[in-house]
Parts: sequence; structure tokens; C-alpha cells
Amino acid sequence: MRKALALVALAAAGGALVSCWPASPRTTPADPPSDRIRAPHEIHAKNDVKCIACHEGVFDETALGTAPEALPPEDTCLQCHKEQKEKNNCSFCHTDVQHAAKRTLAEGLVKMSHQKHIERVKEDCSTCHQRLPEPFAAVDTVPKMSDCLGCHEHAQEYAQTQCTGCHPTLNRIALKPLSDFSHQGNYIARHGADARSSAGNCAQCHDQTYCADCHARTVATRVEVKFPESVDASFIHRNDFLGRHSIEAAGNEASCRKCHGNDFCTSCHQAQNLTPTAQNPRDPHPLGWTIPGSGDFHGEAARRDIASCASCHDQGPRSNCVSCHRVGGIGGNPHPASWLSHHDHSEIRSNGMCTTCHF
Amino acid sequence: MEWSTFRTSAIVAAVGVGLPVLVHGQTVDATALTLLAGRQDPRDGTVHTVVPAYEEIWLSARDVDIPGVHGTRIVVSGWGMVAGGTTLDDRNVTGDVDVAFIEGKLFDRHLGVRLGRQLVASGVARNLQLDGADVVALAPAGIRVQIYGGVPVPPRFGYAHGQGVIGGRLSWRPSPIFEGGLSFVDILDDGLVDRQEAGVDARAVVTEEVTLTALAAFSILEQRISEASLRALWQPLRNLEVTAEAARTAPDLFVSRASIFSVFAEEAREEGGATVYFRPWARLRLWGDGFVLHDDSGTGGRAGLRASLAVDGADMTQIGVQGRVLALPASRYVQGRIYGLHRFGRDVTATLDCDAVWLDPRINGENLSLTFAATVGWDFAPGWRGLVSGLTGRTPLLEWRTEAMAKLVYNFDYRAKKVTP
Repeated sequence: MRKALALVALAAAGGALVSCWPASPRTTPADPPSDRIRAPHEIHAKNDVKCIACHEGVFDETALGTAPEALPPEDTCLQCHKEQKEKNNCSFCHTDVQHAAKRTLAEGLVKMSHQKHIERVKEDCSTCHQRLPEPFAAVDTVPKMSDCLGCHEHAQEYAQTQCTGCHPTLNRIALKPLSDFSHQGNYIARHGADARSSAGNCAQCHDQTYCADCHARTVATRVEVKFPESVDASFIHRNDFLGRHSIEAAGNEASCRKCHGNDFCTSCHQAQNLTPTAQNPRDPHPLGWTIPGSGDFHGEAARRDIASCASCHDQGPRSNCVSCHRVGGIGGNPHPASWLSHHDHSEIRSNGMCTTCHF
Repeated sequence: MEWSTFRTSAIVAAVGVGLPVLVHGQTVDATALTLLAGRQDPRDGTVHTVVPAYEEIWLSARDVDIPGVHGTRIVVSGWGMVAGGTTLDDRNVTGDVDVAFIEGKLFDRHLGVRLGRQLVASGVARNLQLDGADVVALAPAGIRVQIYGGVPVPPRFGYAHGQGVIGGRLSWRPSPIFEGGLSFVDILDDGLVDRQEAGVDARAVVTEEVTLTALAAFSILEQRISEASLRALWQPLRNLEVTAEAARTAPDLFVSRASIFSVFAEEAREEGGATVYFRPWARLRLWGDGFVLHDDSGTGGRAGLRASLAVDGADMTQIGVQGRVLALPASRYVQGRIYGLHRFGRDVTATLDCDAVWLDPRINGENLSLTFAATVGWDFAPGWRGLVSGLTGRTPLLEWRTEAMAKLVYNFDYRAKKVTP
């Protein structure tokens, strides 16, 4: 009890820690400023103005959006266009003079160090920036992902699905409609096979806490209980699953057992007095359960669905089956016909469980 | 102190001490969920009322600066519960850690290491939850070697199955459109083999519209295939998706080999069918599936249909209907469901869910299960959500079932390295 209290106290302390953390709640981005700076790159380039003359700050920019000097401050522009300022011709640069504002850098969606890249390309910015932005031009001039993949190192990262090397989060990036990444349809039913062959892909977007909500054997409660508002989700155990669980289990017991072991079933069946070791055990079996040839004989049922037997009777090697099915017992040989084809007699000495029946 | 409790306590202590130190000044995404529920729990004719209160926390810290290590992350999720009434396992105060690990990439991202409580899904691991290590080494030409090992985590309501596990996967991924792997897992339980399997898996994007996925797992101990599946996914249009699938399992091989029940049967179950997803109109989504099942008891089938309609273009109101049939040689059920969701403005959302299931044969003398559920959620501040839900109805185990729940969720991200131009 003390250990349990300590665990809960720690969990509560964790909750308090999380709640008291100096947090910045997720907010929607503010509206972009209406004012833009007219910076015709083409004219500057024709006049042989080097990129570095205006964008000197990129030399020190280790991550996108972290070096304000990467965009030229007004003083840099005034080195050439001072006369426009003196003439109060603000609209020479500002598109919305009434709301003239300092330009701000957007947060980078990609991890990229200009400092490192500029050395590698020998200060030739056009290696990546093949098209330059012009005022009011609708053309997207940000280097494409394919430009990055032209470099061998990044091509290899892409091939190995190491997305997070460049993309700190993929949440805001639309994925291509490749069937490879499609989560449409009943993806809950088929996500397991994808995870087994490409767990790395899943991990690019999903933390293990996401998987653990359903797959951890230690979960607090069912995901359907935690998120009842998700009426559109393809949850497996929604509403009265308990009422139909025996039919579901008969339909695909292996599916149940991928998450639930014998003890999970037994814990509840014991409380229902369905197990032989319950306080007041009752017999849920049909009348012909012990009569060979009755159609309900337990031996044939066990051959068809042994997991159902295990869901109540698995109390270790000395379960009640052994009382009849041991060597010399009245139950006879319980092994399937092909048993001896892949289990040698010598296994009896090496496998401790065999000795439960084979003295 | 029990070994499993000791491990959980050690993880909690390590997280409590290590996390604040390591993540100081970094990026943290976290969610805290508080849940207070009241439910009826029928046990052999007696109805017990249980009122549990849960506190659950998900936490992920990234951009942790450790020299020489890239992409370091600390991920934790855990919960605590205090319950009034008689719980199933007689524990009124309990808690556990679902996931708690630190991971990072070394040697210029060529070696990934994850230490702590984690899930391993790849190959034949079958979503193994373990306390231990998972190491992935990247070799040239897209070859990847994964080795994991540790102690399986004991499940709730149960005792530990397995005192040790080791497994791995050797995979080849020459490009994003193909990955193939060979894997193995060996779980020991009290000196006996619990599970010992080897497997082969592959996933190939044959064209931009077609993906093939295949898996075969082989029980080394029993010399039989425990699980095999082949699936083809065809996406001719963005709004149309068809999946064809065939699978074979040996359900008895999902029982621990260390259980006495592993010696009584050699079962086989086959399943084949298709699923379709179609979105003919932006507001209308349709799902359908049909499968034939065959096992030692005979042949059956399962099928389902679901439609979801956004009543208005702003997606403020959504309604859905669903039907499902599972027909086995000895039992069957038919399910009908209707649900709806409506948003009152930006912050308040309400849902309704009506579910009817007809069961054959009768369960506990009843062949009808009827439940009604409703929720009202309010996003009352950025990052915060409050929700109340209720469920009522009649089921085979309860003449009248009533449940209620209140939930409080808080999402936030904290960035010490905030970008400030």
C-alpha cells in the first residue's frame, strides 16, 4: 500500500510539475503584417550587388529564423537608398506605408544552418537559391526538398527515413498522397503490419506515448474511456464490448492475445466465479462437456480453441487439466496427432514443464 | 519489494531526478489528463460501483543538448489512480509507467540508442513492452541492424510473463519505397521458453498507388508458422482506397509456450477479404469491408459498413451510421450504430452515440445490448479542455447500465529556445 501511495504521490507531483511549468499554450499564428518590403532581387543582381552585401547575417545563422541580421536592417538599404528616405518617399520600399513595420523572420520549419552550408557551397548562394523572390511575384522561390536531396548526405537520410534530421516536426507538413503514408480507411486495422515492417516511419511523426495509449500492458484504462468524444474513431472496444467480447474472441483469439495474456482474462473471470480457483466456482460448460462424442465434448473444444480454456484455467503447470491428462491418468494422451513429429522424447528431460505429467 | 514494483519505482525516480536536469532550457510538449469516472462493475450477479480518479501525464522533451548526441529526446507517460469502491484487483491506490525512455543518435546519426521502458514493434516483436535497451545501427546501402533486450513489463491485473527477452531485426531499405527484414525474438519465462520466433517481413511501394506488405512469423520451438499475412493497398485516387488481404494464424501459438495449454492443440485460422474507403464528396466518407474466416470450427465471415457526413461545409455538424456483422459457425452478432457531433461555436462540442448489438446465442440470457452515450466538451482556454460524458443502456450483464465521467485536459508546449527575431 505504501509503495502504491508513493507511486501515486509521484504521479501527482508530476502532474503538479506539468501544471506549474512556465507554459506557453499553443496559439494560432498572428496575422502577418500587411506591410512588405519591395526588394527586387533581379535588379540588385544586375547591378552586381552581392548577396552578402545585404544578407551578411546569414554567415552567423546556425538555425533558420535565429539571426535577425539575415534580413538586411534599414541601415543597410540606406547605404544606397538614403536619398529616398530624405525625400520621405517611404513607398519606395514599404508597400503599406500606414502600417510600416520592421521585418521579422518566420520560425524555420526546417533545421538548416546557413553558417554550415555557406562554407560548403563556397559562398555561392545560387547553389540552393536558384530563383530569387521578387516583390508581388506569386512564384514560390524557397528551395525545394529536391534541392536538398541533390546533396548525397541528405539523399541518404531521405532513403533511411531520417526525417527529423531536417524536420523537427512533421505535424505541419503535408505528406504526399503516396499509398505508403496513407492513413485513410480503417487504418487501425492495418497499422500493425506497417509498424512491423517500417517502425521507423511511424516514429517520424508519432511518439511512443501515442502507441502506448493502446498497446502498453500497463495502461490506466481503455482508450475509449479516455476519449469518449472521438465518436468517429475506429476504436475496437467501444460501448458495450464486454457483452460481445466472447464472440469477438472466438472469431479471432490471436488478435486478443496480441495485447492480452491469459492473466488478463483470468483476473475478471475469477471475479465472475468462472475459474476453478474462484471463491464460489460455477460451471459455465454445456452438459455434454465430459461425455465423449456428445458434440460438446471438452477435448474437441480444446483442440479448436485452446485459448478459451486458458482464459479461465491457466493456473500454471498444475492446472486442473493435469489431474486427468497426466501419464497414467484417465484422460489419456492430450497431445495433437502431429506432436511427436516436432517434439522428441528427449525434450521431457530438458523441459521442466513436461515433468508435470511425465514423471 | 516486488521486482516489478522496484523497476517501476526506479524508472519513476530516474525520471523525477533526471528529467528536470536534462530538459532544462529545452523544448517540452506535455499533456496532463485528469479523469474522474463512476461506473458499475458487474461481478457474478453483484453490481459493484467503482469511482476511480486518474491523473495521466504524457511528456516529450526534445532538443536536449548532449555533446555528440543528435536528436536526444526524453519521452514519459505514466498515471496514478485513486479509486472509491471495490476494484477488480482490490487495489484502490495504484499507478504505473507506460513509457519512460531517453533516446539519441550517436556517431553522426549512425547509431540510435533508446534506454528505459519502451515498446518494440518491429518484426516479430509483436509490440513488446520492456525495460531495457533498443539499439539500431545504420550501415551503408540502407542496411539497418536492430538489437533489443531487457525484461518484459508485467501487465496490469497479472503476473510477469517472461524474465528476459532478446530480439533483433536485420533490415534492408535501399530507398523509401522498399524495406525488407529478418527478425527474431526469444522470451524466457522462469527458465522455459515463452516465445521463440523468427520472421521475415517486407513492404514495397510498387507504384505510387500500390503498396504491398507481407509478414511471416515462424515458431522455432513448434516448427510451425504462427502468423502470416499478405496485403495489397491500392490508392488509384486520393479519395479511393482498396485493400485486399489474406492472413493465416495459429492461435494456439499465441499462448505462452511455458503454459501447460501449449501442449493441447495445433490450430489454424485463415482470413481473406477486402476493405474499401471512398470519399465521393468532400463531406461524405464511406468505409466498407468484408472478410471470410475459416478455422477448425468451420467457416464464417465478418463485414461492416460505415458512412460519415459533414452536414455543413464548415464541419460544424457531423453524423455517422455504422453496421457490422460477425458470423461464426457457433455464434454471431449484428451491430447497428448511429453517432453525431455538433460544434457550438469554436469552443463547445457535443457528441451523441447510440449503439445496438443483437447477440446470438444469448449472453447471460439476453440477446440485445443497447447503449446511449453523450459528451459535452468545452475548450475554455488555450490548451485546456473540460469534458463530461455519460453512458446508459441495457446490456447482457446489467439490466440498466449507467456511467459518468468528467475529464480535464491540459496541452502545452514549452520552448526555452524560442525563436525571437
